Amino acid sequence: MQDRHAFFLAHRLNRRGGRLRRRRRARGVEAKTEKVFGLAGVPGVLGLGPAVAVALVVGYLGERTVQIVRRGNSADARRNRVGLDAGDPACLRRVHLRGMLRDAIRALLVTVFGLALAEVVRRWLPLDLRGAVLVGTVAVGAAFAVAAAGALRLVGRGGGRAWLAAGLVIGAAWVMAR
Amino acid sequence: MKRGMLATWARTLIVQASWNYDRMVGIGVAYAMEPLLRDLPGGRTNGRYAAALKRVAGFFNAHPYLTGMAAGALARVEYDGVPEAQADRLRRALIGPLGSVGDQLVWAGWLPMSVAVGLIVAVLVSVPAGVVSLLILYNVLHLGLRSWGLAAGWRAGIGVAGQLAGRVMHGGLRFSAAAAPFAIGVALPLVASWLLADFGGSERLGAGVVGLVGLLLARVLAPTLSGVRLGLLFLGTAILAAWLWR
Repeated sequence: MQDRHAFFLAHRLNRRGGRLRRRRRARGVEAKTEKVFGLAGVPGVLGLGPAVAVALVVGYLGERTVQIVRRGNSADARRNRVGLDAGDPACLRRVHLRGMLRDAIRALLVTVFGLALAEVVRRWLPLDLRGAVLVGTVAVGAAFAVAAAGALRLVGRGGGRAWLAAGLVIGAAWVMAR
Repeated sequence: MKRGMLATWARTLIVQASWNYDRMVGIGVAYAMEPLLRDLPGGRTNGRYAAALKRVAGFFNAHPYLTGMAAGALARVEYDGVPEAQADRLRRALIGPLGSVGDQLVWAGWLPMSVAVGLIVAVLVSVPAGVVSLLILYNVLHLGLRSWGLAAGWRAGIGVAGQLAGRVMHGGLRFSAAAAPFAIGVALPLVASWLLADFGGSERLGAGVVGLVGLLLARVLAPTLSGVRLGLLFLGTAILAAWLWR
């Protein structure tokens, strides 16, 4: 929380200090906050946007690669049709364990890719303060959109709407009371 | 406890490893129930042992947490000497209910509720506490449902449908149908206020506009535009804009 406060204080000072920066620029002094920086060590909400982006890419990749594994399992099951249709337990075990191995390799590759992508983003994604605020703001807005759309889809047209409304009222009252 | 029950329970944890488009979870369920069939009279040389594996390894589908119930019930009918045609009808009849009840109970009920509770704890206590409470809460039902399903399936055998329509499942479905939307409703304003706490007026307005546009898009373009795709679209655009804007 301290980091988030420190960042936003810096951001507001940065905006309010535009005139000062222009003077500095005129003097040829590069203002520190205008340097393009990688996202290493960027605190709180500033790091939120790129972190969510990396998580979404990894999630999407996971979703797609599961289909590749399942196609591999289908081909394996077709190749071993005779054994499976005879109820051969050894054949059953082999097909099942091969499927598990495929999934383990997939999980390993997706994890390694995710970690590498996070490192690349952390080191080399060049965003200035303004850009990082923009990405953080969009990340929060998109999260609200996805959560609200998911909640509406979940409750449908049934009695769940009343429960959702009751929860929203209690949640809002809780926020106001804090 | 029936010998092989623990091995079957453990195997149901990896039941989806061989999921495929031809037989779906059939091979996984056959692999899971195999330890329960070893004690059939005549053992592995008994024709029913191979016949049961063959039947289940064909097309079969169910919610993964309820595959234990199918494995228990289908193994029990082999012990009870139920005619093969009737055992096969039971297998086919279980596919729909085990899928829909599981989806309703877990994916549309317990999972969103656990996530919402985890978020509330994260806001009110700390982020690690939120993660831990989510994992504990979710897995209490997850592991409990697997254990109850296997035991109930083995107990009921051919009458397993009675367990699905029984008090436990009925109460669980009613509870999760109310608790999930309520918990999400409480979590949404709390998380929103937490995330926006340090935002200035323009950032709050921006997040609100992005949220509304995203909600409209998600409603109009569902199910093509999933949550992941919407997030990727928005964040990709924002990163590109921020990079060009430097």
